[in-house]
Amino acid sequence: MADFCGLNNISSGYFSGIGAAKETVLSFYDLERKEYQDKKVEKDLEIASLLGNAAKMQGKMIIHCHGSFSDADMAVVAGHVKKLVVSGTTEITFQSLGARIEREYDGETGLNLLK
Amino acid sequence: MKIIAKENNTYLLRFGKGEEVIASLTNFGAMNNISAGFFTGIGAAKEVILSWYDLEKKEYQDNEIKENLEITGLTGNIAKMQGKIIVHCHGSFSGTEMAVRAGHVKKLVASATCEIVFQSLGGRVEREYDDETGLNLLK
Repeated sequence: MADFCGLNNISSGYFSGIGAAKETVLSFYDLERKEYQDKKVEKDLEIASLLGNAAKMQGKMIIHCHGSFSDADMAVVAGHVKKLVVSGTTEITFQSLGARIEREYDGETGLNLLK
Repeated sequence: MKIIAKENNTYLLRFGKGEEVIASLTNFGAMNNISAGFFTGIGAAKEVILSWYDLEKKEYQDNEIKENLEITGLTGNIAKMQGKIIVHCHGSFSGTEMAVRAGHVKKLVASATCEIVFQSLGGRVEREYDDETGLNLLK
C-alpha cells in the first residue's frame, strides 16, 4: 500500500478492505509502557474488516491500519495491523485525499499522531 | 476534536486523549450544520459502553468496559430526529490478547487517539420511532 501511494503520487487517503490472510502481525499499544505488544498469527484467516488511512511523516508514507480476522470457527481476533500476508485475495477500496496530511511524534502518548 | 482535513464532503477528524467520541461527533454535526452522514474509524479507547439490543424486551443491555482497547473498527451514521442529531455507531475493540468485543457503541472515551473519516450527505435523513422494534429507525 505504501508503494502504491508512492507510485501514484498519493500523499494521503483512507481505505477499507476484505479478503483472506495467511499470516498477520496484530498489535496492541500499551499506553503506559509506550510500546506495542505484537502477536504473530500464522494461519489462514478471513479478513473480516480492514480500515485505515495513509499520511506522511518526514517524507515517508505511513499506513495506519486496524483489522478483524476470523478463523474456521468464526472466532475473531483483531488489532493494529503491522503485517498482513495475503492468501487467496485482498480487495481494498482506497480513496485518496488531495490535502497533504502529516503525522508528528507526540511525547505524551509516544505515538505518531495526525496533525 | 480536530479537523485534520476537509475535502468536498469528506472530513478527516482526530479525537484526543480523554474525549468522548459519540458526544463530540454529535457536536461536530451541529457546529458544522451537518444533518446526515456516515463514518468509519480506528484508534484506541480507554472506556466504552457496548450494548446489545434485546428485541423481545425492547431494551439495551449495556456492558461498561474500563480498560485500554484498540478500536479495531468503528462504523456508523448520523441522522436527525425531531431536530436532534443522533449518532448511530457500532464498533469492535480488542485487548492485549487480541480478543474482541463488539456491539452498539453508547460511549467511547479515546485514549491516545481516534481517527475518523466522516462523509456528510446533503439530504435530510430522519429517524422515527418504530413500535414493532422499539427502535428509532431511519425512515
